[in-house]
Amino acid sequence: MKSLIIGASAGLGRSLAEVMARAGDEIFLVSSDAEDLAAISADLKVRFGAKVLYVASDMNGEDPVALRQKVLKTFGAPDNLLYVAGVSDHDDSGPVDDALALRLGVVNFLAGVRIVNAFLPGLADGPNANIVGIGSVAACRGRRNNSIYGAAKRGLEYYFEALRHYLVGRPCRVQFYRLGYLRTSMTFGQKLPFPALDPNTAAEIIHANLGRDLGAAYLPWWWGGIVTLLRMLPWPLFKRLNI
Amino acid sequence: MKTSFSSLDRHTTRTCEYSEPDRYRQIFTRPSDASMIARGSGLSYVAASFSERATSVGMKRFNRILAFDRDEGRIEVEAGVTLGQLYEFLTPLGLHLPVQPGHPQITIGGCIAGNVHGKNQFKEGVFKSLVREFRLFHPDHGVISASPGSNADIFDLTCGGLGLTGIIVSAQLSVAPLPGTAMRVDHLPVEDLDDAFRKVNSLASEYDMMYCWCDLSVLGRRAGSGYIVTGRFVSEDAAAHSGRPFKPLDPSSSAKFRPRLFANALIPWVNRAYRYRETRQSGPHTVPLFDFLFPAVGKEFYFDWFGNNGFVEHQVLIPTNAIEDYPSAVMKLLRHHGQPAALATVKAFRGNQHLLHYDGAGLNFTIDVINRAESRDLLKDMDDINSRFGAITNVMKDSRLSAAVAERQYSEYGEFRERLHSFDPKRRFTSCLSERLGL
Repeated sequence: MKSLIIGASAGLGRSLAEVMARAGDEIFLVSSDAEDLAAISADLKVRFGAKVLYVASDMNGEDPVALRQKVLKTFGAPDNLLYVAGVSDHDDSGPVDDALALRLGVVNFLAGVRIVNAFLPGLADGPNANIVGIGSVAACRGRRNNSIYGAAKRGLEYYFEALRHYLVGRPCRVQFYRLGYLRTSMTFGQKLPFPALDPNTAAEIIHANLGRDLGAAYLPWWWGGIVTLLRMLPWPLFKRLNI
Repeated sequence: MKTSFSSLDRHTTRTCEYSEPDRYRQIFTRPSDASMIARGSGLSYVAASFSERATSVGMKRFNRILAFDRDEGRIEVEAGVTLGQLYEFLTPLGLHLPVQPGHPQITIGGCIAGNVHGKNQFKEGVFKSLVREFRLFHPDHGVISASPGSNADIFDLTCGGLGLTGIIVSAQLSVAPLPGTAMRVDHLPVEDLDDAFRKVNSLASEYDMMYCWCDLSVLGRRAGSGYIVTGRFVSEDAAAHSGRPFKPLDPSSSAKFRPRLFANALIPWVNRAYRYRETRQSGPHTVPLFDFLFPAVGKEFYFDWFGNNGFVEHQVLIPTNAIEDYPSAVMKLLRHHGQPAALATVKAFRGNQHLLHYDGAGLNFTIDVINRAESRDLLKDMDDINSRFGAITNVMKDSRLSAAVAERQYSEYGEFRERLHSFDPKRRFTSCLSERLGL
């Protein structure tokens, strides 16, 4: 299998790269951090003998068509496309700096849509193809914190549902994960009300689910209950929550 | 974020700023005016990786193997790679790191900063002998590559430099063919401390690894009796290659229940039980290499049984010319103070002392005592006899060692301090250890 992982330099993307390399996949990694990609690539080659290629590219300014050409030329057509890239910011509440607003919107939503869109013609009829998107439970309801991040992730979820609908009857599987807390730099140092999942565990689950007609799923599953409760909360109560 | 850290001996606990980068740019763009200190697994006996005045920079996410050349016997790793990870990778390939301290959770960055030793120092020397090159980050100098042939001064200052020259990012290490996948172990009895010193000194060259366990929990006529654990590499089946899961050590965890079980009355019983457990198998027997290399695995409770106040590990290197007279002097002192040691070991050393490196020729003598006023009085008197015998105290082990004693014992203390200040005049890298030692 050939897997293209977008957002692979740390956290869940790095864990996915390791899980897939261990399983014998060929991997193409994309992220903005060239030095980290070089280190991950070297590690996977040394430990698993994996074929790993990478390109450093900032999602904020990436030309998806150029990226596709680069991937096809050096790596070939991927079977799996995993859009893991994401960025959040403590200042994402109320009026934010315009550059930050743009970055949050592009990395968490628009770049994902454009990259999937660029690769879709090759993936749609791939017999073992999977398109995987990573969302967040932060998108369950509009909140004062992480407002643009949450909105962008909800947009991405909408797009992935639309994609799944578009691909009905075709072999390509579309999966979307609404992630709860992960033990990554995004949650580092925060006092979390619920336990955080190890990114390696999340990566194992995502890898094991490839090929399944999963649609959207919570990871870990029990976040489904929490999100349902939050969604049912009437506005007079919800507005009092400091979340 | 604010985090509470404790040294492995739990002698020192502080609330410090902590960050845990997972990308290189998060290290390389650290503010140049802030004090910091690198932190690996946080398993140093002393507070070498934290201070109230500095941000501890956790390196555990930098745990990748960057290059490996089997023919050249060379491996390049990030500083957060642990000995356990390397064991898992190298052992099936018939290779090993010839110098390894006693727990698989220890990181390579920590091994370099502490210039650590294993149970075969008399054969393989200290960790610096394995280091070919490393990359070091310092906000005022950027990223520096240092090796014995390039930036040799920084190389020399950083190996055993207690993490005070910067953040070790990655290192190239020499790996050697593994002579066997298991150890043929035997126990040779020793009558007392004098006998232990004599035998360890004379037998070291005959074995691949060796250390002596002595019972100093009772201070009567046979105080110091015990056994020398000798090990020779032998080949075993493939199953013996692999490591095994282990309970991570976490001295900083405040959630852990630490009943203080080590008390004067109980220590002798614990020592008797330990001696029985370790020597019940008579005659030579084979032990998996992992178990021999990392004897602390499975005995994590030991560190907790001293309670929340912890203990002090006092480790001294007694020069060859003093090993005949030292045991009687130290026994006299132990009896005078009446303080039992929860653990006492003797190892052979060969090498040359330099800067603050715990290295030289002679015998390594270690005791663990409860952290309380009576024990500290004993250790204060031991500082005096150590200085008299020309011994050096391991600064990476003893949490109460003062700057004055370190200066008295290490002839190059002043040179180390001067070179450190010359490389880093603003002294950006600081820890409780460096502050206590006046560095």
